[in-house]
Amino acid sequence: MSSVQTHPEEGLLLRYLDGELPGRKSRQVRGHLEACWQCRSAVEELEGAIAGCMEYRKEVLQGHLPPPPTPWADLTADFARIDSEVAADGWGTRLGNWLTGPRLQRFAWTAAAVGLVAVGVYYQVLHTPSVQAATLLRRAVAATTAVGAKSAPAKPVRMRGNFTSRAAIASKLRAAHYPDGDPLNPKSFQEWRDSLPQKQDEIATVSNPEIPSESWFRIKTTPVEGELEAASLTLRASDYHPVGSRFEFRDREWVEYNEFSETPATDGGTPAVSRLDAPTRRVVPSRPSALPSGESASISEELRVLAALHEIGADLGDPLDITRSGGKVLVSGVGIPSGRQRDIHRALDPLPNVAVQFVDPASGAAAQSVAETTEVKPDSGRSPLQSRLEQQLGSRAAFERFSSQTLDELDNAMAHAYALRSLAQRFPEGTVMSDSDRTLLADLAGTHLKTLSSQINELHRTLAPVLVSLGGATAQGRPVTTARAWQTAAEDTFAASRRLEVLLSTLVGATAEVPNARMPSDVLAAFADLRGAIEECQKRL
Amino acid sequence: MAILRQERTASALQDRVSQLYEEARDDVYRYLLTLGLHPPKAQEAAQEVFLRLYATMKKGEEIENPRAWVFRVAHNYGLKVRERQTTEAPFDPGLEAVLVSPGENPEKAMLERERMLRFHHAVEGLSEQQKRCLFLRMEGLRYPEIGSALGISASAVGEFLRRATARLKKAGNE
Repeated sequence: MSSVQTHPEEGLLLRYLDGELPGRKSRQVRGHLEACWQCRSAVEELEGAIAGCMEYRKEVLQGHLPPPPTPWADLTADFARIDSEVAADGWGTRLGNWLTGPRLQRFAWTAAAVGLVAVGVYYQVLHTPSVQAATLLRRAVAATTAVGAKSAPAKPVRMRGNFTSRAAIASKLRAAHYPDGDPLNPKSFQEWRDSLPQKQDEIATVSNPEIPSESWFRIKTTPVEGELEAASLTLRASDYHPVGSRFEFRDREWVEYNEFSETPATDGGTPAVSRLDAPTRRVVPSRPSALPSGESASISEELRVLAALHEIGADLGDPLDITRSGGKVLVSGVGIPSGRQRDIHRALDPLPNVAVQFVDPASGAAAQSVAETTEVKPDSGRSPLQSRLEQQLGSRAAFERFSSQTLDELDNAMAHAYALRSLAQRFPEGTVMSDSDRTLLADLAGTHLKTLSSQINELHRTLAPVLVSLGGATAQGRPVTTARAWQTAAEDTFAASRRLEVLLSTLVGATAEVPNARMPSDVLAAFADLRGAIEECQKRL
Repeated sequence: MAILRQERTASALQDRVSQLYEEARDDVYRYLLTLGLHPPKAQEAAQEVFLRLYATMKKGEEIENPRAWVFRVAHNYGLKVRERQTTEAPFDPGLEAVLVSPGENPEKAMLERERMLRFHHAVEGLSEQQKRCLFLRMEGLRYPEIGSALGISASAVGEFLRRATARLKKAGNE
């Protein structure tokens, strides 16, 4: 059995102690620990911190936090009420019980805001979180069909985003396997969502900004991989009519489509308006005093913002936009949880010339995040290669564990590839900066590169034996075109990472593509190319 | 792996949820206090979460790990309750005074109290996400379960926990 050759990082040791490493990796770390006193003492220190946590929980949290102010209630009567609600037929009866129940007051604001159907669905949203996205979409599809039958006139749709052309968006949606046609069609959203092997859903109730008494449901689905980072569909609560959709791509481009009333007629009442406007969401400055003062913020300030965000891991997938605007570096984010907003403020507030703005996409929203992991692929869709892999691993369950661990590690590595590319694009070759800024930038890029390299090497160590056993031929990396600057090499590294991501996702059954017999060799070649690109980038830094 | 399935009789399900309620309600309540809820709100929210568990299971939904489910829902529901509060409750009212006051066993106890106080300050100094990950891990949740509660990936949970333990380790060694 091979063992970890280099000293495992502390994060790996913690995951090992927590039983969060895949079996093989865990055995490797254990093997290393048996041989390495240095890492054994590091593990003991970690265990000391863990023991301290549990002592803290017992002595401080359990010992000194205020006890519950009243004796705990017996829930039996509430159980009986829920039994009768669940047993009752139809939404009307359930709604009646709810309205006469003791908890009405707590949700009175909601009940007052929406109509009967909406209350019924809202109740269900709050109480059965895991099935809501699928249920709402089914109803929306049914409702759309009904509306179609009555030939309801389509309202005009406004398209907005930060992309360069409509053709580019169409091509990206196709690459994301999102069905062509009407971007507000719930059936398209449903088909796309159903095709995702792993995803997370979030459902929020929001108010129509034009008619506050009208409620909408917003379904936001975040896939684990693919071109789309997230997509959302907004439905009118009273009849499930789709009123908006939004698509966010991993390269930070986004587009949204919203139905709008024709009364303003600023564009002559033309349906399907295709203007490319700035986002219409109301941006609430969280620090009004920090708004632009006129001078231009410097590259150095922007770099320090990125370094501060890096410190809290906010450069690895948090939906933040960083721009230099007026005299400030403007950091804005949409839908960031309030706790995370505080983290970001804490990191950025001490810096000069920074404005932080968060947009709340769901004012008055009742959002509930629900993680949902579906089967990787049905048996009938498994390719011969995947069947062999499954046989080698021993069972379908083992294959799925393997698949999910691979995707998890890949996802982690890709976050660094994206962060590296973002730095390269933000500070292109030739950017004029001081020596200390240049060093800071190189440090940031170097950290991402180092982590990417180590994670890819780990992934390779785990996967290479499997790939070889499936007939894969080990490969030398393709000669790397000598890049002039690290930024070019970073783009190459990103492209190589993406290629590996696509191939590996296909291999483990996370895409609709069927892996062919050459796949193991292709994956090994992609690993070699990526390692070559990383090496080249490291040389240039 | 223990999987709780839909219970066939109402009483069996009620017993199951009641048992978990008795075992975990104080833990859920304290978690909600650390989230910044005032004690009456935290207690009310904790009870509500167990009713939601019952309603969900009653409708036939399979819940693999009810304890983790309860903490996930408590986290999301607690955030909503906290938004409606006019002020956020500090999660350690009077804690510092209790920890620094001399007890019955002066010398050894004082060292111990000082250590816990250092630890407490270190916990307070963690970022919100680090704290959430740490508290949920203390309650026995696995990385994917914590990630599901907080809406982040399991690997991000690992990273937050690594940073948290690194700081706590430092506090323990001071």
